[in-house]
Amino acid sequence: MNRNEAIEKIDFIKETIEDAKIHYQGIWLMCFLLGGLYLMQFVTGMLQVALTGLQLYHYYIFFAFHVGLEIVALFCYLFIYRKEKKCTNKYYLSVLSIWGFVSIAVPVIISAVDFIGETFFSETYRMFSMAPAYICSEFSRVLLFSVFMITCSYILDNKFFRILSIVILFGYIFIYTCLYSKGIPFPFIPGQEQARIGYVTVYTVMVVDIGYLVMGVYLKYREGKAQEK
Amino acid sequence: MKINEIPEAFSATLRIKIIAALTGSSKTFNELLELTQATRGNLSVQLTKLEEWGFLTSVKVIEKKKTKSTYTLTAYGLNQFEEYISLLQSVLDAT
Repeated sequence: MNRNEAIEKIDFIKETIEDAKIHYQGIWLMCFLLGGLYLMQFVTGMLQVALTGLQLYHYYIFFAFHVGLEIVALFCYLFIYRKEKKCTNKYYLSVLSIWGFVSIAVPVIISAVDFIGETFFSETYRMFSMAPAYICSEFSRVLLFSVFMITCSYILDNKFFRILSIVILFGYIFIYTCLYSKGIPFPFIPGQEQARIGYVTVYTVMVVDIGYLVMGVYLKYREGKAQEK
Repeated sequence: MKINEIPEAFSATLRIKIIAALTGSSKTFNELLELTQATRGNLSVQLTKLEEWGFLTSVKVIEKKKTKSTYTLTAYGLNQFEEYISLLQSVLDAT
């Protein structure tokens, strides 16, 4: 056996061992990242609504914080992807790429366009034309979580998650179309007792945001169990 | 392990791939099929040989009228694999 043969054998052994690993780490890291990001954005959004007497610049500060969170999330995602890039499983890497692009890159792009439009094209910029972009962003968040449930059903070999994905999507569309104008009273604003947190928002937070954190914990636990074997 | 004492288990690329794939955890036949990209017939033959030589064990379970086979590397198989890796490393270090 010569040196080249030895190198070739070691290389494909490494590649096979890497391919054979059950890759959960990138997935549960993404779950924690997205769950944490969305929850923090929800909390700052509620604070912005609850605080009275805000000046215009306070809204800019909240907007900057909101966008700042997205940019931090983008860097965290790039760090996770770089760590997982050594995996030779192309399907896993492509799922991670698509997930990161839709969940993190797209909201950053929307926020960037919003900022540029308001700042540099204020005369022609139509703020309300961004509404569909934000609505699509919320829908894509729920849709992506449903798709993620399908991925979990294959990773964890459990069909229950496929059923859950359908229920999640059905629930969101039902609430959005039938209960859009209704919500839970938001009692923290003095003089605005009619203020409500929409059922759509509550559903998204409870199901998607907290759902990501729960799945992150569960996948981390399953990775630990698999490695013990 | 010396170069002239390499077990026959390591003389075929597919067999090395099977052993490498099983180092982390047990795998089913279909998982090994996907990992090795081998044909069903070839994989089946190599798994049988490795089992005869004591490198792995198999457990067959019937699920919904289908037989599901799970393969696990034995301690002997893992030990031999580690010696083989050491041998490859010594070839690299020597040249």
